Amino acid sequence: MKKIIVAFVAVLSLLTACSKNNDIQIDSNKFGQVKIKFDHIVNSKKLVLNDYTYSNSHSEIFNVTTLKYFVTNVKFTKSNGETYTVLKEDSYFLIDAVNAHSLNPNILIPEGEYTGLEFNLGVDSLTNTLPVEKRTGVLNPATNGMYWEWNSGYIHFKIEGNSPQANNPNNSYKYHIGLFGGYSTPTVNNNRIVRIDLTKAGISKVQEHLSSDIHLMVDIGKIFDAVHPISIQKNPVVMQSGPHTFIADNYAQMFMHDHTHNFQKIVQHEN
Amino acid sequence: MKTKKKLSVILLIICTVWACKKADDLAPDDFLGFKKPSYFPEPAYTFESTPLTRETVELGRKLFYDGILSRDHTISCASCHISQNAFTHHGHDVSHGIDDQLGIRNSSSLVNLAWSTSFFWDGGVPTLDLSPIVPIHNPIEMDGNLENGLLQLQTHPQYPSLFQKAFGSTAIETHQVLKALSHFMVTLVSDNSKYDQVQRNETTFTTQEARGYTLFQAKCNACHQEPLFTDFSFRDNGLGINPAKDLGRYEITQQEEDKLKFKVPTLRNLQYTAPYMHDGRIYTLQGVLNHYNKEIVLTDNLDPILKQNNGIPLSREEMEDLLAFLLTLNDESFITNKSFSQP
Repeated sequence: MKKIIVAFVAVLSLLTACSKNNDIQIDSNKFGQVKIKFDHIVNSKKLVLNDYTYSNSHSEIFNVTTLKYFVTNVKFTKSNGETYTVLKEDSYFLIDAVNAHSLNPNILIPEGEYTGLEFNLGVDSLTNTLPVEKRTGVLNPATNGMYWEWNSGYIHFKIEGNSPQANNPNNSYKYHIGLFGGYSTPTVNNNRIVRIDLTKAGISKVQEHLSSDIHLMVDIGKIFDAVHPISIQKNPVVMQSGPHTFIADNYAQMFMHDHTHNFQKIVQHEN
Repeated sequence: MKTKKKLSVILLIICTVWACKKADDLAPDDFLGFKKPSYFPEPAYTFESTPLTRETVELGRKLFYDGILSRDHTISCASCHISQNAFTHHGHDVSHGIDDQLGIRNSSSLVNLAWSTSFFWDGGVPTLDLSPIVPIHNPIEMDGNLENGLLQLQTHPQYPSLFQKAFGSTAIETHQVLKALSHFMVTLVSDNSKYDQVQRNETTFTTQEARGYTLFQAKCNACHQEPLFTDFSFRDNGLGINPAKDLGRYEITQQEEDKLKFKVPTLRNLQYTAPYMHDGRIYTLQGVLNHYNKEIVLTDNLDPILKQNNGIPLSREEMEDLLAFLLTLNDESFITNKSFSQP
């Protein structure tokens, strides 16, 4: 029985490989899986927490001990401009470099061919005003170290590490970037919308019972150099003061679409 | 839905029975819940998601007085919010937390919190429910970790059953801890000062108090609005910068116009809550009046009302009258209420 299935799948795959895009039967009432893979690098080197060292354009040497950020409000667009917005409450992801499971969030979306992926890096103002009983899972203010208690609000992006250029007792740098626009008084908003064009490296073809794996390379080196060069020596700690908006502009630039694997079998009991 | 209706009916019956009882018949531990005094505005806090019950309030009270959520179990909410002092840290300009470390602000009176639209001197927290995480996690206050706290509560001999009674499940979750604390804190309503009794026509002011009340309405009520004695706004009242370089509301908004602004505090229970101001720099009420009378610092964001009049000019006689009125805001039944004290 198993053999037959394998053979069947193999034939199907071959057929699929040969078929043109517009041969796919699309039923927008059916849902298929999209898996977004967040693969971290720093400049051109793989991210390995603690052990690997990297450098920035200021020739400062650093490692990374913590990397966490929120990806929320996920949307998919088609070439005709049609958009599918994932239900807001199903669209809160905390990407945490130390937690392999968090790096590949799965989402169910209607069958179709999607040419664009959009998400918010951070936690928007609407979410920041949720009542406490709705703040569960990754939004739990007590459990993820991604919430500022005294200036109430989520931390959108957090990176910590060590650098000999960080002039403090532990030679550590810490960038905790939050601020969502304020509750009553308008403040800085460091949420950043990220739009990724999927047409160059492979559009996402979503089919029921199959997974379309969108593989993103996330270059943490951009945090220091994408738009505004950031010096660790000058700014070893950035939270609510210092160049937090510059870092936000930089983190908006760190996502690149590498490739897409369409029609992937969904392995059950996957972690 | 059906349960809701049933509950309403039961509540109605309870209320009816209650209404027939005389106040004297009530044992001190009889549960009154949360009741809005008729002349108070609508509260900001709501019970839509989680009804307030005897069980949620009693659980909150136990948590409020328990050091279990602090790093070494030595500091509870009540360490710095003492019921006999209208839930302030009486006598301390700033409070000492864990390992006797000092903060930079005077612990606020926890009173009439259901009406508050923001929390802490800088208004950095928008809801009461999110407020307790601040002292629990603050390294110089309780230095705890709510995640660990939840584990401690889950393995505690009493808490799981108390959470079961309050919320219907033994799984203890962040929001339940916070709701329980909120429910206890919103019951801390002070509405039985002489001022309140006058509002209810149960008594009258002395002539001096009445003169003070008139003065108050003319010179203080713009910010310390009746009947809560605050308008919850943020203002620079001319204290100038302190050695801690605390910029108040600016720390939250990073807006120039918010530098040195702090939330207008209530004036209720002043007799029990000395010292005064966000950093507890003034030890007596006379000192506070002296500040407004002649010690105002002309800072950039000084409140227009104070700027316009160069403070609040008061003659010696006016000060005495005003002090007489301010003392009518003390609510002895609030600070002696047994259902607010350590269970």
